Amino acid sequence: MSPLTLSSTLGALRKAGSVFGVIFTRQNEVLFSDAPFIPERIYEMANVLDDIAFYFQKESRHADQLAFGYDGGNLVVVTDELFRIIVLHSMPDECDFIAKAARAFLKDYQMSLFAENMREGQTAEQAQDSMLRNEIPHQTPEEVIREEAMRPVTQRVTLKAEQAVDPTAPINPVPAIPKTAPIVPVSPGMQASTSGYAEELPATEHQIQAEPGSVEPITPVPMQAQQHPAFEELPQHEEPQVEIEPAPVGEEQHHSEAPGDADSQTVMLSREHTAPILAANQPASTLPPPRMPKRRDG
Amino acid sequence: MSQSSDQTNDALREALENQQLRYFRASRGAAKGKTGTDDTAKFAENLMVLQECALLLGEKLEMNAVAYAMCYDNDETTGFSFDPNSHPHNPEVVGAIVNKRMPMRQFVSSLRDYINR
Repeated sequence: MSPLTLSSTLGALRKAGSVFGVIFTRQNEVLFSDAPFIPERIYEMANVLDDIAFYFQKESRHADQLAFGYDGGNLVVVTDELFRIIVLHSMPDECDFIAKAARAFLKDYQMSLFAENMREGQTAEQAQDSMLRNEIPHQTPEEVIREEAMRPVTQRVTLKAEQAVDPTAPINPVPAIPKTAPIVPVSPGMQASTSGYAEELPATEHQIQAEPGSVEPITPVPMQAQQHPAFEELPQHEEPQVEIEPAPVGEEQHHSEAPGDADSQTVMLSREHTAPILAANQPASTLPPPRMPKRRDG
Repeated sequence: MSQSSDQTNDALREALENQQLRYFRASRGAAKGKTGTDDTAKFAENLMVLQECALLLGEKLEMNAVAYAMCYDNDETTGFSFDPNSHPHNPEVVGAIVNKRMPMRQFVSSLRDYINR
């Protein structure tokens, strides 16, 4: 189980119900902590719990779940082998639910450790021994990021048949041509049966095996819209040709430069070209003239 | 004397057979129970261990007033709860042992019922 998975799983427990703190330890080593205490206090608490577990072990007692209630909160400690979860919560009624969730997580964690050891080529007994000897592969943050980035590829590779048979076998690349046959459309004249499908299949294979140069490129035919007779009577106006004059270098160039982009070329249009093109009988503006402020006489 | 010990043994046997809670009361370093000396001594030992654990952890959590503590010990549930009806200068503790893994919520509510009885 990667640290990201660990933190996300325990983070879900941290947000459940009235939980306000989760600490996950292996003996007195803190693996995860999300509790409102300083790290030194969490380490001290892990040491105290390890001493308590040692006492019970010395007395040949198997106290795998402890619960304490205080004036300011409640505490549940669930132990499984060397691993321990400490959960702080407010509502005492949630004790059993929290303990059940913590126990389920501990089992999942141990199973993932066991599976990792088995994947490394160990036998079941060796994997269990190394799990009990605390041989957990520690990952650096770079390894964690790399693993998360490569996760889909890794899953695909591990599912390959030759890898499942022989772990040392080389990994073949994914074939470029899919092995699945194309879907043949069922037309009314063609029966939807395997015989018809078999007849169509060689032609498809021939198309795939054809050389790239032998196939003539398809030239697109421009589509012509049908003109309405009413439009044909109208005289065709010539589109006004707009000439773009380059702006004066000294005066307007500093306006055209985009900030932070020296290579961008911006063409500034002169004022007469930016003005709207109006018809002969069209007024310049349909807006009323601007109001002048009234002056008080006297 | 022998008659009373027989009665206590009967009470212990019945509680074990029916998986019922055996209640105890402790104050000023002494514990009282109805299921025999050995069973009461066993509870007293568990009470001391749990109290010590609760105080050690409460010290780290800065929560010193212990309300209850319990644990699953193999297939047995042991715990105690502070009696809020007792005198503050002479606090009493009510505890219980049952030979099964009882839900902790149910265990605490049973202790409270016994306190309020």
